[in-house]
Amino acid sequence: MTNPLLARFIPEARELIASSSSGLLRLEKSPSDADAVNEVFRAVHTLKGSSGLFDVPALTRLVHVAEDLLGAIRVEQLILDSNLVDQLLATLDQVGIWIDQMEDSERLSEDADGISSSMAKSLRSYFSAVDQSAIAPPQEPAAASAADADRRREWLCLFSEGERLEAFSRIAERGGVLVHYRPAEDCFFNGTDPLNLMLNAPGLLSLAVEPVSPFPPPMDLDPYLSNLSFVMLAAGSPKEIEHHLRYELEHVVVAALRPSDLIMVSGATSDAPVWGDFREQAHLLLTAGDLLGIRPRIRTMLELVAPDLAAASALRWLDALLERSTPAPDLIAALIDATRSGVFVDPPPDAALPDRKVPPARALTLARDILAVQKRGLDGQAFDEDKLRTAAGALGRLAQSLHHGNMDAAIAVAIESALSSQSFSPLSVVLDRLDAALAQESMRATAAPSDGSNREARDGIAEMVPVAIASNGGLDHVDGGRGAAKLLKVDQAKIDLLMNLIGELVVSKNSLSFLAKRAEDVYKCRELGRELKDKYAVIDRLSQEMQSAIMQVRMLPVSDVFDRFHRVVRDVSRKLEKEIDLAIEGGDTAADKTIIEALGDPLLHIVRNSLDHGVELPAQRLAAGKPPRATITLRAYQEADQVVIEVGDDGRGIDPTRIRDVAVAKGVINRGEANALSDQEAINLVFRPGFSTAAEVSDLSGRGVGMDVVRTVVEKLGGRVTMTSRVGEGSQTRLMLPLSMAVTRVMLVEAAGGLYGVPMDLIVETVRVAADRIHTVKQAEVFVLREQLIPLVRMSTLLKAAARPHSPDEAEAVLVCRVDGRLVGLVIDEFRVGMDVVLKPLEGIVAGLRGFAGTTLLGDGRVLLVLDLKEFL
Amino acid sequence: MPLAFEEGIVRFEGHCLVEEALALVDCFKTSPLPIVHLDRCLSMHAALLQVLASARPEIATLPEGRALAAVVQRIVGEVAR
Amino acid sequence: MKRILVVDDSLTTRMFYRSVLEPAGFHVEEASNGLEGLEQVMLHRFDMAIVDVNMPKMDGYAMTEELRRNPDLSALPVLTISTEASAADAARAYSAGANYYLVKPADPTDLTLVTQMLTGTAS
Repeated sequence: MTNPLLARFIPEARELIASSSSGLLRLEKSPSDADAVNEVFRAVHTLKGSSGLFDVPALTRLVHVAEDLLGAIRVEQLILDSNLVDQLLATLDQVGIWIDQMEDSERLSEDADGISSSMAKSLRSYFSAVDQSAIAPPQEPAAASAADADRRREWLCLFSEGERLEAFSRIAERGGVLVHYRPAEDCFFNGTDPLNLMLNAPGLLSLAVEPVSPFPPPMDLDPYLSNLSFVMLAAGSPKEIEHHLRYELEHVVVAALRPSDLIMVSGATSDAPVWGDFREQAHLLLTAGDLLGIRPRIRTMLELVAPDLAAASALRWLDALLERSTPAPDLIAALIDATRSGVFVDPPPDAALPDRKVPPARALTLARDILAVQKRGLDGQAFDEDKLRTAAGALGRLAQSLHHGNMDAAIAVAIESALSSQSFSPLSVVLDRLDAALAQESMRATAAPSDGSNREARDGIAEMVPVAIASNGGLDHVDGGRGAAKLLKVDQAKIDLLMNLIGELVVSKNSLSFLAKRAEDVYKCRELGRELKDKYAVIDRLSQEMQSAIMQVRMLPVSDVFDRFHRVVRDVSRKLEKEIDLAIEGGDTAADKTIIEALGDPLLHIVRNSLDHGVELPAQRLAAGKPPRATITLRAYQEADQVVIEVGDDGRGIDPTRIRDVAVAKGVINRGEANALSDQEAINLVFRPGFSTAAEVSDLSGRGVGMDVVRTVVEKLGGRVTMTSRVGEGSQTRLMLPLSMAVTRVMLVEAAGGLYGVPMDLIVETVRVAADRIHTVKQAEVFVLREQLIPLVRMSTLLKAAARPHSPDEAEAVLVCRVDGRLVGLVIDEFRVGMDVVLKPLEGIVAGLRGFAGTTLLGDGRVLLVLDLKEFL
Repeated sequence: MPLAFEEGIVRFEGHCLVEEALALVDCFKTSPLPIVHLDRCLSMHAALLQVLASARPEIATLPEGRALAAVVQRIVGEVAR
Repeated sequence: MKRILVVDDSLTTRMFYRSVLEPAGFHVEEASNGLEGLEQVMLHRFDMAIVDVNMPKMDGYAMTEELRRNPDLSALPVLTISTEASAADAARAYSAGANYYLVKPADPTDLTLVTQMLTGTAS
């Protein structure tokens, strides 16, 4: 998104929508809650105000009507009932959809005007019960978007060149407005005076008045029937004009006007040789950027030629254009050309406003190849400062060219650390990161282009994370925390960058202990070595603390997801005619942002299951001897290093017998197996793939996903899910998730035909070792790296599998790692990218496997084994 | 009285309101048309403008307000002169 | 405007580069062999050099190597171009210090994209 204002508006708008929605729900429960009314009114009012900064009249108008309604509710002219709440919530939903559209394309979809009008109409119908005079009159301009280019051109033609030139010099670069107003025939009878209304418009530049049909002679004239239409040029924004004409909006078309819209070249064409000379010189001066040099030539030409020529008209416009502080070169060129053709072609306005560009697939392929070349130039090469600069320069320019300019800081850090450790590996890490980002982009560029473009646009927008800054130590808790903690909005990308940089710090600090050893062994400076080790310990501790601090920053309260469910429970239970309360406990329990965000979908599914299948109809509940109102409980609490989330209901519970039957019917298990299961085991069948996927395609929960998907998502986050139930008493689903994402940075390596992860903090560097540099000492392979003998271990031997066929003159890829203070060279088939993964402990059949720190799911669904080098070697 | 009717002349003075439209129509039903002086006119209701547009009398003086003058000139004056 | 030095002994090839790069918004200068090219990059500021590997007097590898010896030029992007799509040639170009390697005749789109990326120009 190119518009920083819009980038700021979108998260704000979403917040306002969320707080108005929750306020409305509170208000529905307790209509006399004055605070809730005020909160909702304020939020909607703010939303209306900020939306006016953008050219989205449909949205602004609809929010305006909602604001009027809420104003009436606030002064108790209007009673809020459930239907009205439905309407207002639907309005907010629609506004939310529009906000998404603005985020994607910076404008609303074509149908926005229609939707806005019809929703505004149904909202306004609530006013009919109220004294009309107390409420602002309905406002609805005739579809402003319908002001197509032709009509605008026709209106602009009503103004003389002189008027347009004058307007051109007076409207700001951001433009002005073109207003068409055709008052109703009988408007004089309700006190409207269209002429004075227009003459008093703010920013008026020129007003043209035309009869709608030719005036009859005075004998036949009814002066009290309006037969006028007005077209006005004004400076300022459409919003100001719309406000001025607010009582007449339904008769008004307001169109934003760029200065260049005013340029029209007209007159007779003629092309004398002298024009050719002028054009040539003007183009030369334009290319040279000498705009001042063009003007005297224009004056000279204007004195020479007849003023009614189209070329003269073009010159006058050119002169006016050059008077502006920053005339667009393409406009100048177009006008210079118009002196020949007599036709002015307005260059497309968007040329100057590049969108966030997604590089085309070919560019990505080339870019990744270029990166690979730079990397090859580093790997296995002796450190050389000039080479480092060559590669770093290439990397920086490449990133910039592909709109990844935000890597500059990381590159700078990498250069510093490469210089201090005399190794290319820090730069390699950054290089890999850019490569990984490009790989993702190219995947998105190729897969599902329609959906992909949307997602791309969305990803381009920085997500905002509220970061709590305790302003006043412990005192904040006294007043309940509301508004007490100072919130600082930080771009999520900045936090991620910080996290990455800290991760790199953790890796690069390892070179200090290497340096300490060199000081002792090579330079025989034991004291210096010891001091270095001391400093290393300090930096080590600090970097660990930084890592846990940054993890804290990413923590969000679960109420962020829980709060969404008020609305879900309310809407669905109304639809199903069930009576259900939602109880939330432990909303301020915090967990990592990634977890909180990923929780939404699984929770939604579980809650919908309860709403749909768990809770009975009020009559059934009464018959079962239960209160007619059911309760669904969302509860969160911390247990050791896990956050536990429970979704419970007091509905009919799950009948194990039915589960067995369904499972058998669906072929998940056979009858014999089914009968052998305990009741709890039978309930667990709901997590089996194939059990619930095709089931219950209802309007509500029938989205084709089942509990198996819930389980997959939760396990991907490193968590577990269980379910318990008692027939007639209800069911409970428990999600146990890690508190923070223990993000481990690993390097992916290929070895023995498989893909493995090696924790990055163990890797000292990656080198390529030619076969003739590998020596055999007592049957063990070794090689020398900067005067140090490093034992080689072949991964394929450790994995007891065959290495990839390898020609003898090809250099071996070696991962130099530090394990228990010793350097070891791990011979692998190929280096791959570095990536952040969330480690999951080994479970199931691999649980007993030694040498592995854990597993993680790769983006493509494969399971990656991460090596535990200590055990492995 | 913002509109002053004299022998062969109509003078607009100050803010001229909608109520005078019918009187203005009547004075243009005669021939020759009276000449219109607008130099003291500060504003006129759209209904009065319509009467001028219909009768297209000779406008002797234009209002001082530039925008109003331009409007009158465009809808009446261009044809009358 | 980014300045590109094109070093090639063939006039036609130099014109080809010009015809591709100028419309893409680059300023193009020419040299007809490695020695001339080296002289140019020492005397004038360039944002990138496109160097043919096979040239009289001084070939592209030697020119790239020479240029990399000068600390002021170590970060100058160098794109080498050769008629041979051989891994050995590419390896030789890279070990001489080239940033990237294209095979003649270079595809105009690729040439433009690579030039943009090596000079840090937004596409």
